[in-house]
Amino acid sequence: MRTLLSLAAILLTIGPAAALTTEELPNGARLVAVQAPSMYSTAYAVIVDADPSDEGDLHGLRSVLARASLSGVEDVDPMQVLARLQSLASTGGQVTTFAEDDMMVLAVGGPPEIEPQALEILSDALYRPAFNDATLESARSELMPQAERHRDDRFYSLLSEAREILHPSAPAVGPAGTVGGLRAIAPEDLEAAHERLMVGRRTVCIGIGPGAEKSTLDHLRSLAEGLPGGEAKPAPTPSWDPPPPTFHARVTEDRDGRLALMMMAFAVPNLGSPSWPAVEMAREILAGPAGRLTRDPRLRQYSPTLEVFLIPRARYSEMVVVAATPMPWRIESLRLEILDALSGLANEPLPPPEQSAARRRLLGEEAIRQRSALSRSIELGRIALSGGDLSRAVQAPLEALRTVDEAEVREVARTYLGPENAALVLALPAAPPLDQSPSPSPSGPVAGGR
Amino acid sequence: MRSCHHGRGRWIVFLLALAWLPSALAQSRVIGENIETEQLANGLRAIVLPAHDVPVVTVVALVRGGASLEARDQRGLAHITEHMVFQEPVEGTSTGLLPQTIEALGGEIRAETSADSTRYIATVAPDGMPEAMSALGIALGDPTFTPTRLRAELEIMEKELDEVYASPIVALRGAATKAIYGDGPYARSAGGGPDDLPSYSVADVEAFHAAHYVGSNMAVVVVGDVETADAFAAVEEAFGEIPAGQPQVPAMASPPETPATTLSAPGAEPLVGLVFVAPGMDHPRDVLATDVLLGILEHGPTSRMRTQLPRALPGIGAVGAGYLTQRLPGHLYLWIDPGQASAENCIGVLKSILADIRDNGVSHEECLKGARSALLMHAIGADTYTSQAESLAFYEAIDSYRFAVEYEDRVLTVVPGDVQDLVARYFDPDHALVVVGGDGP
Repeated sequence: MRTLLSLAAILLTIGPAAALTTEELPNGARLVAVQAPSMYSTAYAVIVDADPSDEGDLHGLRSVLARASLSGVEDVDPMQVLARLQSLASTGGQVTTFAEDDMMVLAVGGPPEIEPQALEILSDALYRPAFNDATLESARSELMPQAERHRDDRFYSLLSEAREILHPSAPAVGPAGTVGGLRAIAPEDLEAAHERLMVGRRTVCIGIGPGAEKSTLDHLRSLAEGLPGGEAKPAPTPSWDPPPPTFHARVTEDRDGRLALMMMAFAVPNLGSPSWPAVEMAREILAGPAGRLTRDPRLRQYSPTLEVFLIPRARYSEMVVVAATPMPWRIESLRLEILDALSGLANEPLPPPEQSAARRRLLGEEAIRQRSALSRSIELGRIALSGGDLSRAVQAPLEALRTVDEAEVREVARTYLGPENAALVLALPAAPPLDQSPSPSPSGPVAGGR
Repeated sequence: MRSCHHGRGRWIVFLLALAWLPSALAQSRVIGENIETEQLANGLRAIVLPAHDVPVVTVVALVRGGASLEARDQRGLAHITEHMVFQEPVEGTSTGLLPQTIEALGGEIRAETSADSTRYIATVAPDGMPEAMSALGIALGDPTFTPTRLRAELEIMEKELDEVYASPIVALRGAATKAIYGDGPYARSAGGGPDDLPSYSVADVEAFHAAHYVGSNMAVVVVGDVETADAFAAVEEAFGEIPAGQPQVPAMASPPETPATTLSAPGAEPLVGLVFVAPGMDHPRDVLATDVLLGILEHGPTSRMRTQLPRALPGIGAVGAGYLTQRLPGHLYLWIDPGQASAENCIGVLKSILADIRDNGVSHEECLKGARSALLMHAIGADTYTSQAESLAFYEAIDSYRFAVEYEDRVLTVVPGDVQDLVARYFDPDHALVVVGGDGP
């Protein structure tokens, strides 16, 4: 018997008023239907709760699976499958499929006219995929350059090291996987992964369109009710518990680079957490156009390249400070300056103009993310997987950003961005200093021991 | 139709989509009808479509006329003015007011100049709408033009135009439009030519701005999560002080006629095709009928060009058709990549397709299919508040925003007789401009 979890068709008097209905099927699949009558656009997305720990040694398996599920259909000529996708594109539709750190995404969007085709494509991906050498090779050839780039990119090398410190239980492998992992995948692995991962208890199906939610919900039911229940992943943490002190430092010798790189990574609350807006605000204050870290003249003197990334994830969100300097002997000063700025964020009042500037930018960025039905459907999937409040995300998506206050931002900085929480990873050049070397190579591979 | 240009592809989904279209439209309109307008004392029209499903607002500030208002010695000036307004300087910074403001609001902004208008398109959160509107009002209404900025923008534009003019398809279309329009408003690219730019001074830009960026020649379209009254108030506040000026309407000395000749364009893309003068917005029913004709000729796997051309001309490459609705008569072009076929045969078959419609008409079913495909293209261009605002602004620039709103009702009223009559009047194959690109026949 289906359980009706919530029915929230309340039109708010202020702000967006899209209607939302959610439901959970007996097989555990969660359905999210949103009616947006003022947008002549439809999107259907299947979000699968799967991260690198579901890949074993076959790093990149989820990305290959997502692509191969859409490119091959059982008993259908591959050219016909391709033609179907091309035809969809010619009528304004688009298909997107990829894996992120914590999930797999299969989504189709376009004008409402494409709804039957969107559902057919997704249904084939869930129930009739054809995994063979051709579909595997096609997906692999798309992903291999990305895996090679990540292997050779010092940012990803450092991030991987930082993640090993922050989340020792989660494999620190990017969604594109590794060259070795991609090469090792066989069609049978895809079949086994499909059977294990494309199951009700790991799946959230989202539909957005101008039609009534009931109709959208009916379509989602038809799409998901045939899935086996399977096994769920452990529930995500809806509110983040402060991590234990995790300060660690690793130093890597960089044989080709000429710049010293420092990455300071912090585990922060997840996307669905009520603290998430404060995390976003903290990042914006540190790294926006007037960012304390990115615009600080002292820091810029040490490190002309300093950036702060917020990586929103369902389970293991991270804030990452990356600095590059041609003066390796200044790394320690750089580290102390950054920690000083983080301490200021945690302990000193936030001037209202600074808050206001950060808030304005965040509101705009969120509005742009919400603009298209396709990107909105994927964003709702992320929020659903991370245990966030879907009603608020649909009916008052900007409210939390409008109301997040100084105390919440300080609390985030105090709890998560202290020196004891940082995973510090350094890559120091083994070559002579920059001024003694004729050919700097800032993007060379990381090599050497830990 | 805002633009119609379609490549090859398989069309199963297209047919299914067309079959499903009426039920989809029963649920929702492509562009909502709850639009309100207000005219400021200076003549500027504000058009507001409130919609609250997503928290985003798009503002389009448009200046009518665009490149079609340039005199012979002013080619490219509308485009230069657009660049200069966009980069309205902010003291102590190198970024212009508009990009700087919109970036601070976390939004997006771009500007474009076409033959019929210049449009500034900003998308922000509802909270940022008044500030975005204010920046648009300052930049468009009271900009400061400096020689340093002009030099910098001219350098940027020269690079842009060099890339555009290096394209062989531009050479082909350029030759065709010159043959049709001579020295008329649509004769040359809306961006100007590389040779036009360096001679302009700040005084030229100021004069162009003073004449065209005036209330009676402008409109502001707002679509998204705003209350109508708030949007009107923001428009009034930002644009109310702009001088009224005089409305600017481009004109052609005489209506263009399709020159019934053959034009060779060596060095251009190796395509062959037919080009005709097509209806402008002064004949709105003909505009709709042309969109339907395009559906009959080229959209979908059962369209006439896609079924008859490969059958009659084995070995041809891509085929296509295009028509851009403009204030004044624009042009329709039908083209073929001849591949193994001769140019003469390609032209012959293309002409026979049009002659059949002229002489024998089309069925009700075929007409309805053409109308539905035109409607689908209209719908694809209105999938977000941003694209809805752009669609409203596009038609407001050349006629009225109402055309965008009513399109879905009106295009379905086109009947077979309209299409046959249209071909006889505008697209008679015996009076076509034949264009042969590349090495020729």
